[in-house]
Amino acid sequence: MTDKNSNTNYYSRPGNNRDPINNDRPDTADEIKEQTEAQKVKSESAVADLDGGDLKINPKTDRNKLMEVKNLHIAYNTDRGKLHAVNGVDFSIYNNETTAVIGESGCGKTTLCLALLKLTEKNARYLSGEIIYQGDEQEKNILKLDEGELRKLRWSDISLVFQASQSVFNPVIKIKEHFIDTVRAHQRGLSAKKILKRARNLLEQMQLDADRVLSSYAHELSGGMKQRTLIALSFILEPKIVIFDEPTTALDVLTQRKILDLLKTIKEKNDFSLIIITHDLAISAELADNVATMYAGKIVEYGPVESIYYQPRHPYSYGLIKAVPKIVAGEGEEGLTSITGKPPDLIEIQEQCSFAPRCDFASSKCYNTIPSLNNIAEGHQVACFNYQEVPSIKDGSHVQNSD
Amino acid sequence: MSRTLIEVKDISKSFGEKNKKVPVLRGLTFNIKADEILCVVGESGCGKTTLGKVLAGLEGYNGGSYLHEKKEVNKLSKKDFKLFRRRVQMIHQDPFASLNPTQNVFTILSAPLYRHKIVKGYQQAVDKVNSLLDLVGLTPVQDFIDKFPHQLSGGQRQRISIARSLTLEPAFLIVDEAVSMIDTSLRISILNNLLEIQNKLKVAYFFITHDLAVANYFAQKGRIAVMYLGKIVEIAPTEEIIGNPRHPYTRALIGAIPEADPEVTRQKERFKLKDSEVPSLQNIPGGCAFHTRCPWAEKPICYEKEVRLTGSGQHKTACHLV
Ligand SMILES: Nc1ncnc2c1ncn2[C@@H]1O[C@H](COP(=O)(O)OP(=O)(O)OP(=O)(O)O)[C@@H](O)[C@H]1O
Ligand SMILES: Nc1ncnc2c1ncn2[C@@H]1O[C@H](COP(=O)(O)OP(=O)(O)OP(=O)(O)O)[C@@H](O)[C@H]1O
Ligand code: SF4
Ligand SMILES: [Mg+2]
Ligand SMILES: [Mg+2]
Repeated sequence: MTDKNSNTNYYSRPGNNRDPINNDRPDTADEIKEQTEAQKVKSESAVADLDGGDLKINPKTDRNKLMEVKNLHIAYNTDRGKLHAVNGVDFSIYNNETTAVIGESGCGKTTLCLALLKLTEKNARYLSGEIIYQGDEQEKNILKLDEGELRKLRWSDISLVFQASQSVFNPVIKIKEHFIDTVRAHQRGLSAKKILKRARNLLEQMQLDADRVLSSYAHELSGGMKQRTLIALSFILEPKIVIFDEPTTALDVLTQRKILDLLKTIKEKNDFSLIIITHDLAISAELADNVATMYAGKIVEYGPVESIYYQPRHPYSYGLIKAVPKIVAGEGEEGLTSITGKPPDLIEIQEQCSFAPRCDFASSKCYNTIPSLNNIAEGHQVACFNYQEVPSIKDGSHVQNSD
Repeated sequence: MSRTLIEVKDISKSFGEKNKKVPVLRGLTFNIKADEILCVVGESGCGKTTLGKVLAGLEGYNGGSYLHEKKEVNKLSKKDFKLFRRRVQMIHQDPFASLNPTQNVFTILSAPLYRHKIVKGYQQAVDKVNSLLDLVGLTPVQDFIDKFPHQLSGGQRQRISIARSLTLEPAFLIVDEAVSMIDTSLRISILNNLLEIQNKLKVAYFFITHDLAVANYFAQKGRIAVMYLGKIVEIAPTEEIIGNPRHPYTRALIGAIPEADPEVTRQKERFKLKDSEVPSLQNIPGGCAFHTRCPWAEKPICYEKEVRLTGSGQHKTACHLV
């Protein structure tokens, strides 16, 4: 284990070589330069293969996989039968990247993320698949771990801030006790003083009056303050993966702005992977490096944020993006379109593309075959037979490379 | 130009007893035309819902005047008030809480029709309920008519509460955060549905939202009012307020909104406010109430002098420095 008591910076961890399989990170500046040059060539050619080819996106290729979800199937036992909330998901979390999971209510976002820590409710059944986590030691299949091993991972390796979780604070104990209890559950010997020093540092990074917050009860804080406190708490054990389920839903615009900015700053300064679950496409546009679109228990598209927003290849991603009202000039005047129909009942087993009944691009094949998630460009996957017919939302002229 | 339906002048409302009075609405003035959309935006607790309830006659007001069809609402006779309550309907913030869980859709929609003698007999009720469900896009109608609220999705419940508000053929609809709990893919269809209803029935809307992007879409042809601590700080036609915001608070709101476009949202210009908390209603700052957060605030004027909504034409702002 790394020394978590170092008081310089609570998030940064020495070394990134946690990935025993894919340990090809460059070490010297020259090597980095060489590698990026090589990547440029590589990714440009990959993009050229993409029809349209006018969008220049350089996907990162020096990515270290931290977690890999393989063919995951989770069903809830219900009165009506098995409800397939996660229905064959393949996806990876990379070191130091922000991944957003988007999709409409009930598509399985929360279930998928709860599964990453095996925190799903009792009636959830893991029908198949594995979740490989590349921790500090050797890789582990999360689904094979027992309760004690999982408890060790929670908060210290992976922390999860639940949807509407401001109520996780116990109303009768002060905020400081929450910090102390959380740390002590993992690191028994640590003194309260040390823990609070760490907590204060984090709360200050969240631009809160640390002393006031620590000696308050949850109900004495506003919604935005509670949310920021919770974010600070989620970082207290320097996790490698932090999952936020709807982090700013139900907060005011200005409070939301503050939290988005603070998250961006923390992300810039520190090394961890962030997973944001949201149905708000503006939030994922702002925070994400990569976006996974989920529909009816499946990830139907995954790719760099610019690809998903400007050249989505799945009709569902396309439909979602076309349905968001914007403030910027030139959009929104036209009359936005919604996706007609509703998602399928997850109890019924689909032998077709589950989006087909709502899809404007569906062909006969879509009604009798399930499309699988395929690579269509570097770092961009889509599960659709007719992805080439999905029009671009914005052409390449708007997209510039950051370098 | 259509006629003016609602005229609100310097209206105020406070809650609580004598020395513990909390002012929630602190002097608002605006009109709404018979087929107009007025959106109101502002942070949580600024008084949007309270204003909506006052306009719907569900809460009284303590000061100022509220004319509906040229008649002062708190002076209406019992009979006229009953009629007013029919003509003005409110769709509430939480559709789940506002629907009776023990009634099915047919009962929810037909009860007011019977009560107000809008229909005679079962067959007429069925016809009317069918047409209402059709109007809010819940088709095929048979799939919904005998469902209970818990058997419906959030969006469907919201449509039921819209349909219920239409049972009494209102002329003025107050819509409180109708889409804030609803998914992107459905949100637009509900907004479009409300716009279609307006097109067909020529109703006026008072549309409450905390989401400026939604307001911008819904009130494209209408106006937006921005509220802060119980007052309107800026009101203008939508295009004006989005394209040419004047009040620093409006500027901050517009700048703060994330946009569903990675490049735009990351490069957007922000208007930064002073880093202080929203004052409580028990302790509203003097002068311009916004001065504690306003980066422009100047002494002594902003700290001491009351500010009023002024401006020529349709665009009005409450700021000493605009
Ligand atoms: N404990 C449970 N038992 C039975 N069904 C469940 C349970 N938890 C969730 N579900 C169902 O599983 C599906 C996926 O739910 P999940 O909470 O993962 O969706 P979500 O994408 O997070 O939605 P939202 O955006 O509304 O939070 C839904 O149909 C939901 O009703
Ligand atoms: N019946 C009441 N008695 C006392 N105070 C009230 C009452 N109703 C509302 N308030 C207070 O009035 C203020 C304004 O509330 P209101 O619900 O109008 O705000 P809002 O702008 O709709 O907020 P939100 O965006 O959170 O819905 C709040 O401080 C609230 O606590
Ligand atoms: S596979 Fe067919 S039905 Fe499914 S999203 Fe693609 S085009 Fe539409
Ligand atoms: Mg969820
Ligand atoms: Mg409200």
